Amino acid sequence: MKKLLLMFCLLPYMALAQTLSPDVPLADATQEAQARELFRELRCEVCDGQTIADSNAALASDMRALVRSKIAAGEEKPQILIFFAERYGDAILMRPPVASRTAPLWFAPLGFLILGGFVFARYFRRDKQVA
Amino acid sequence: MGVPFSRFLPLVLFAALAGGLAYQLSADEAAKGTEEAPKARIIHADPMFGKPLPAFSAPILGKPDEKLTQAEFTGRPKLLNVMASWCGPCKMEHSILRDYAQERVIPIYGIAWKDAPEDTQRFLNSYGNIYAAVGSDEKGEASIALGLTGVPETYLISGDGKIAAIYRGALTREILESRFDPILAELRGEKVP
Repeated sequence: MKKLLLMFCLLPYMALAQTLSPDVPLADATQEAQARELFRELRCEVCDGQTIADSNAALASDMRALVRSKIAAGEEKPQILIFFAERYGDAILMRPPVASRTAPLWFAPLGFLILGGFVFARYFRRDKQVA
Repeated sequence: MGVPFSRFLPLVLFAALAGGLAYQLSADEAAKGTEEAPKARIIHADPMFGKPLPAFSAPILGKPDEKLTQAEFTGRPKLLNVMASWCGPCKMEHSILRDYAQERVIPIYGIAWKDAPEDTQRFLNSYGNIYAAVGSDEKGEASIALGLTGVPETYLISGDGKIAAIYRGALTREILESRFDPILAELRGEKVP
């Protein structure tokens, strides 16, 4: 019975049993620095608001390993970012590109601010006239 | 004395926003029913939708000298199912996939994600091997090449090697019929049911 209870308590940890890619730094310090720079440019697909540099998720650790192997193979930074963006969409980039498709994302807040300011100003001017 | 229009501007803007959001929300539901858009929108919104199956390579389970690659996916529509022996939802969808593949006469290939080959083999021994071939992706590299976010995920690959449908998550019969069937029929040049 005790054994069964213990097994039951350990059940949630089963999810952790999946293997993580070991975080082995590259031997070349410059390459390792490049890899780490890229870790901070890539969003963890299965977490909220974390980069793959910060995440312990299995997928993030696999992605780190893949970035390292691509750097070691001599691939350039933009090339690697494109590899991930092609597969996971621009959403995987911590800094999504400014393109016609993403323009609303970048400029809509500015538009709303101007619109809001305009409405606000008119509203108060009218109130003053009434008073 | 009329009330100036600008007083209503915030209300008009709110209504426009609410209407826009409601339209987008209901469009997914509506797309299922209408004849012009039988395919679910959610599949179309996926970054991998419509793209050629990316290059990947994984040693074939039981034949480690051979590799399962994107080259296998030509000629006719095929299914690619990414799973793992440690994944509960994969076990749930296993028999659903088996029945579907049998009934639609479509070959199904597997990729075992972050799974030791002996564990995958044990899983297939007890649940049945429904796959034409299974690639062992122990390190998860081949799966990232496919744009995988987790297991299970299932891809419908057209005869010319393009990703015609994707489902990320455990499949049900309803999902297969509503999202995969219309696309499969179109690929095979049949009338959309």
